[in-house]
Amino acid sequence: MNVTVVHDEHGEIVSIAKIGDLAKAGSKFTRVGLVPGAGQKAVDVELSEELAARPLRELHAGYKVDATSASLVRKER
Amino acid sequence: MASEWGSNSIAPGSTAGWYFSRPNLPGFLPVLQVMPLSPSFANNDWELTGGGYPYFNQLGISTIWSELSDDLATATYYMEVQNNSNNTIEYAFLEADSYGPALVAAPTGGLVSNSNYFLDAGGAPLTGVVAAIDFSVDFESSANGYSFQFNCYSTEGNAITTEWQQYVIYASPGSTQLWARIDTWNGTAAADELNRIDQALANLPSTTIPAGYTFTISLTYTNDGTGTVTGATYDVTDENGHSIGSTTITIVPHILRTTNHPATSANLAPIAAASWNIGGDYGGNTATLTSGAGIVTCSADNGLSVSTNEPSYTDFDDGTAENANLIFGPLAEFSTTSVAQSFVVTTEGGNAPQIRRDGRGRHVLPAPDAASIGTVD
Repeated sequence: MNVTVVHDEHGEIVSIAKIGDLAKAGSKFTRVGLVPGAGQKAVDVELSEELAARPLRELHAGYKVDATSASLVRKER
Repeated sequence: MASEWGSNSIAPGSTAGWYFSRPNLPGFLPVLQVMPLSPSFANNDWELTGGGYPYFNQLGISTIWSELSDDLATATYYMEVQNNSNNTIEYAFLEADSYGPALVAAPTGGLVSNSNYFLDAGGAPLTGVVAAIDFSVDFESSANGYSFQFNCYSTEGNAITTEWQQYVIYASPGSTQLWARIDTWNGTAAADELNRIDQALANLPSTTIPAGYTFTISLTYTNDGTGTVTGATYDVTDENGHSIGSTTITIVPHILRTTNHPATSANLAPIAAASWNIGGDYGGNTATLTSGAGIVTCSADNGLSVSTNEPSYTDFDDGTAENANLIFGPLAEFSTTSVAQSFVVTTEGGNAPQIRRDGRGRHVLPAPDAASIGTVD
């Protein structure tokens, strides 16, 4: 599953967006997305099946963004 | 009923900016809200920001900002989602949009330079008409000057011989001189031209019409209640609202080109419809515009409606020939005493003109001559 992740300069996740099919959901918008703020970046990330099945809040708690590979990596404990 | 879509999350104490795009539709009201999908575990404290804005320690949204694309085709709305709690919150969007009146279909030639909607009042004479152009972006032409044409279609009747009335502000290529023009016609042939009257209007600071300038054409009338148009007053104001030029043209008693006699009240007529066009200076010229955007307006005492085609109760069945790389924005079905419409210069296709594709004729605005500018009778 593809999601958009906005993160800060340390790779900490600020926001995750799974938008889905807008037309099927009844939206009148044709394009929707996140707009990174100052010091933030947005990356598209392909989630593994395991990560895609987990609640998004758990991704915030346990993962951060590796900007070089545009992927989620476990936070060091 | 609202639609619910998306599955998103936001970190505690964070703000997420969002954009929402859709085709431009006048009267469309986006109604968006967030629906939390996970608890915030917060206690509903509220405070004021340093600027006095109140907020709860919960999930919330900002006001909505909006943007119209350069080509007038897309409206994009911006909103911020804020999580003022101490926990990550998952949320969806709830959308329950509201619509105004439906769009009026564009003419078959499109909403371009010399093909635009018609404004009318169901066949009644339009009275108190004031047409204006407000420039929000510098307007520049690199070839064939420009003309702003408020083209008016007369009411029909046995006593009506003037079928088309053109109220125009134009400039020749490379010139800073703005001219006011009235051109009246009793038919579509070149020999049907009644009056061609040019008067100097204003001198611009350069060949560019600066952003903030306004051109106004106020029609003048007989005082007999018939709505008969006698001429127009033209005004140009700068970005500070100061006048830089004004002139009034009265049709009577300028010399008729058809008879060489002075025009009389028999050569005047009320108007039943009008259309804004923007093109090259005259002679069927196509302007090459390099910059420009703004709003054309038309106000009247009547309730104005928007029509796709020339109304059946006018008799000219033609439009102007002058063309340019410029488009107009869509309008909705409404009746109002003031209609505002966006226009923008389009540079896609290398400043190619906007081609009108319908079967209407292409009526040429004639070039000025000694008779029209009053150097000979």
